[in-house]
Amino acid sequence: MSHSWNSIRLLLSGVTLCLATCWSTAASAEEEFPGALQEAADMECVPTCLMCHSVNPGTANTYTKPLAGALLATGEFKRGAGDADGLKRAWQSYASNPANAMNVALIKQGIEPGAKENVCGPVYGCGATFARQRAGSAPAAVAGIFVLVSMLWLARRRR
Amino acid sequence: MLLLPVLCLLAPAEARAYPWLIKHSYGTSCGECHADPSGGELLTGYGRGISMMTLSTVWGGSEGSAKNQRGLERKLALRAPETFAAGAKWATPEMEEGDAADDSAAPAAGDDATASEDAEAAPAETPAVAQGSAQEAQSEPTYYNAFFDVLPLPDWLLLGASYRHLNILPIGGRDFSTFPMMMDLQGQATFGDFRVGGSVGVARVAAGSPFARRAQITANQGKDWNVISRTHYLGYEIVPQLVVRAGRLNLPFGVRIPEHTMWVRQATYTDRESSQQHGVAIAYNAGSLRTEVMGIAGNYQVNPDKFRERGYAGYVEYAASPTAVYGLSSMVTVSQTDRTTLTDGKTTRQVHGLMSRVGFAETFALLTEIDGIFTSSRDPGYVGFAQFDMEPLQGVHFMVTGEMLDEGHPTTPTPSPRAPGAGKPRVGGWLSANWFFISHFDVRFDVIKRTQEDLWVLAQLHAYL
Repeated sequence: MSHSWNSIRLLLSGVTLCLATCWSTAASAEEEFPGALQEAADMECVPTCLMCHSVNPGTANTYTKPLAGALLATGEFKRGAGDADGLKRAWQSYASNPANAMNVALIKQGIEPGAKENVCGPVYGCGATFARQRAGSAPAAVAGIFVLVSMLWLARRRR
Repeated sequence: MLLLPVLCLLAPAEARAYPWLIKHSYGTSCGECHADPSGGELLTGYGRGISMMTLSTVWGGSEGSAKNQRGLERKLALRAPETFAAGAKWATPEMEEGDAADDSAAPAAGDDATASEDAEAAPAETPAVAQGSAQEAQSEPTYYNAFFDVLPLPDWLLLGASYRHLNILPIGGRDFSTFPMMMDLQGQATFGDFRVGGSVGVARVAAGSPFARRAQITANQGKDWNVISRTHYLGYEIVPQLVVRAGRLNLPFGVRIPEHTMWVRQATYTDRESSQQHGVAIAYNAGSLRTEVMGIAGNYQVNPDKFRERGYAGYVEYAASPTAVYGLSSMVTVSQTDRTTLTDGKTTRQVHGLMSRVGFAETFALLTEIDGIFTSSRDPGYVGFAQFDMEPLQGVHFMVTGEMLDEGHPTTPTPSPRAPGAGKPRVGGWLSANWFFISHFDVRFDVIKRTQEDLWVLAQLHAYL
């Protein structure tokens, strides 16, 4: 390949480097909300989208849970804009209303106040807490046996 | 943070699996081009050669026509890898430079800048491969194996990387958003019949994001950088057609498309973004048959254990012709918590489906998949997609995709009302343009509209090898 093409590729690599280091936000708009809510409500876990949405991950028109309606009703933020600061202001307004004290206590524990269900998701990373392992499931055992038998059969046939 | 610039300097590598390569008669033997026997990410030396000759637009003035692009180079590219092994190898950059100095000599494989009519007229001088005696060839690598086409690598080592930068444009009521979506290094070392490989990268996503988290090695749960590993494995080649691997692997299921947010990958949890699982997989690839089955032990980068899914996933594909492949996929997993609803209790999830990849006249490809979803405490559901790809000029793709989803209505004592995607059909459409404008780089634009979602307009820059 010619030097000119190598130069162009190196130039593009430089542009890519700039993009990576100078010009990045974290993921898309609505993904800000769980983290913003955790911070505003001082929650122990990061809530999943199920705190406000009927599905996980949440989509634009599935914010059907009571908390979503209550936060929008404060008028502090508008939907679709990824307005995490607005969400925090809405939370402060919501939490300052004594009528919501019981719900606020539930939410701090990661419990969705409508269905009273825990909506804390898993934690990620190798260093995160490990629970005691359960016995393997039947499908996994069947698949494992299949793989082992196949290997032995083929290794023997190869000889 | 010091690691980041280094990673980015090294980054321009990795080619995703592109199932539309079926139209060029590729796609029936993924393991020839990829370290993963079912395709995706890290390329072999042969795969690099194919990538450079067939994936990117050829720039070369009057010689850069589509006719030339699909002339000699295309014919060579269509040759099976074993036909190169005895008496030829991909040309090295030094050879190419030597060729470039002489106008009468044609460019070598991997040079996507020029394609000579002379080359087409004189196939005996085979420009895209350096001819040599069998003895000479045996003492040299069969394919030119170099990181980013610059750093030569020994035959036993494959290295690649990928950087993908996504911009969400401020259309459809959204704010402008820009972020690196992928920054990974991949590698594989081979020692006799054994191999060890995997990927390592960095990611920063918002707290609660469904992306990147499941591949985390470090344990930051907030909006900080994390080190991630999507795959890591030990492998053994029992015979050339049969490879067994153990570790964190892509799930063998469905059409291996790069669009990780497509419902057919997201709803089945089989995308290659971070849905890989730990387990043992055996892959067989010979003749018209291609299959891989994996025993899933769970994702040990997700905690606690109740969220881990265990079971199997697999597919079998039959190539009716070099440009038509049909297959079946099946997956059964069991977990102690429903990851969708977070409801505790044994949750069995089955997905079974059909898929096909068909190419027409080297310009068009049609990819389809339809899967039935059967989950505990839900009515049966389904997910499917069809993608039509048109490549009017080499490296320039226009794609139209339709998708549909219904994961099934919950059958819990107090179910929520039926909604699109949960008891009612949900549909989506993608209009996409993807231009591989120079070897190792491509840009992509997507306009996506789905039921219950605003319009998405995405622009991506992807650097790869």
